[in-house]
Amino acid sequence: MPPKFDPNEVKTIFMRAVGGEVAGGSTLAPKIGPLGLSPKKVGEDIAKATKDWKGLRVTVKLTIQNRQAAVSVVPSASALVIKALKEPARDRKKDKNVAHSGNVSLDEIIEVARTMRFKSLAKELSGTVKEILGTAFSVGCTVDGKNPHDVQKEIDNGEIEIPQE
Amino acid sequence: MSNKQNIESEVSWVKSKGAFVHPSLEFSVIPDAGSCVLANNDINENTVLLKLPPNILINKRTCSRYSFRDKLTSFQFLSWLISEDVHSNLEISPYYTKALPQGFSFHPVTLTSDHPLWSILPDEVRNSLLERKNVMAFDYEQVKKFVSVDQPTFQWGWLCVNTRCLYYDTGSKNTEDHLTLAPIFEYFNHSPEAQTALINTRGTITIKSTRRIDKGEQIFLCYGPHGNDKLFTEYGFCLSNNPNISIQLDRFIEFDKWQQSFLQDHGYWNDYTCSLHGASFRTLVGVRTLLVSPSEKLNDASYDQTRRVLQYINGFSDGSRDRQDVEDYLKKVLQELLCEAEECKEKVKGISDGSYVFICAEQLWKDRIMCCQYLMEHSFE
Repeated sequence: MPPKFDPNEVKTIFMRAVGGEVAGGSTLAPKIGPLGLSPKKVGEDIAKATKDWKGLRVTVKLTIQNRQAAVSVVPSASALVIKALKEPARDRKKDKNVAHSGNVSLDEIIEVARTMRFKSLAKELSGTVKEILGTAFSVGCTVDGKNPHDVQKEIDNGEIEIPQE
Repeated sequence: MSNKQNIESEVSWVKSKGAFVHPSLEFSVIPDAGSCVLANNDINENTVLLKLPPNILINKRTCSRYSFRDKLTSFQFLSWLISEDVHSNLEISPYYTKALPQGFSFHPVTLTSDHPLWSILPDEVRNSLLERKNVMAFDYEQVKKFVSVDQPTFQWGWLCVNTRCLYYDTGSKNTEDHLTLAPIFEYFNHSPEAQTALINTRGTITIKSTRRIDKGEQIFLCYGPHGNDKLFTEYGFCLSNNPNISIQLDRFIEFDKWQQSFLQDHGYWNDYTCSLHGASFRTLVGVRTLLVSPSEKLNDASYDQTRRVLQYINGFSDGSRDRQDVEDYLKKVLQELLCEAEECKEKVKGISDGSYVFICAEQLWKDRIMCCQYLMEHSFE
């Protein structure tokens, strides 16, 4: 139909993928094949777009218009925290149920919070930082050598200062 | 009043109503080809060029005094409103109708079937034109139920709406109602490499620059990633260098009933296209289905060739075993199309009187020739 800038002309598909790996065509084909896109090509594009996230499960956004797909990674708190842990690459098939017992510095957590700011409803950045600390706790890592819960309390007490922006 | 003066008074009117128009925008009229927007000064990246508040947009929500508006679609309602108000001033935007084009002789929907060009348009373009004509006739019947309006005026109004409406959430549940007309906004012309982006938040329409614009440049908007076929049938123009062109192959590929039901079952029936990026996955699936012989065996998933097609559809294999056959088949199809396109291009040239529709029709065939030649030299996948 005629309207200019019709958003219905653009299709978006969200899917989970392991960074840097070419997804099995069988997961892509039923979704994008009928739209005229080649599963093999899009699979390679996803692997290319997620190569900074090697071995991590990330959410990928496919924006499809005019039978062309643009791939972008949707940042997620847990993926960013695990990325900040800088764990060595491992074979996903051999190591299972990995415990992320590393350590992240608070500065890195603040950096993650800035990336995730647009998704957070917190009034101030300190609120978002506390949200990310919650994610860090669920991931299982420590922050500046401390339990993330303790860091949250310290922020509440004012012992740790978080920048405004 | 001249067209230029009309535009100027429209601009000052929208400003008085709270719209923001960047001082570096210059609205200019191209004789016989509508209008355009130029930058009369350098404009930085990320600058707001135009901001139109909801109260000056022309849509169902702002024109609430007509009782029958809810019985018509937005499209029908706006077409009527425009054609009705051509003699008087539009209440909501008094200068809007004055600055509209006088006639639409350049628009292909006005072509009649006895026009010399009609028979040598590409089939798929002719079909979509016919469809647009039918939609227009239907809209006219609908509107006539409530008010009387003569057909030529309505056609003019309908084409005005068709060429300049934009997507806009009017708060209605019916998605067909989501469109509006906007003063000033329509002077921006289309280009796939536009320097601007449209932002539509809380009912306000904003145009922002996405890169630096130099003095003297024409400012474009991108209406959408359309190929020339769509630009021609909807808006009545073509671009000579459109990266989004695609060619329809449906009428060159024939299927028997087994193949048809197989493709229908898997959601791959119809819409086989090629673009400058190669053949679409639908086309490749369609051709692979054609290559299964005998075609009755398509029902039998254990048959070797059928199994390979299914694996290809489901993404388990990349189909390299049949690739050569597929390419050979597609080349044959493209060769056929190429011959037709070259012949028709010459025919159009022969009867052309130099008017814009002929130039467009020639461009449509040129696109096909270019696309075929490009694809024959490159890989299809």
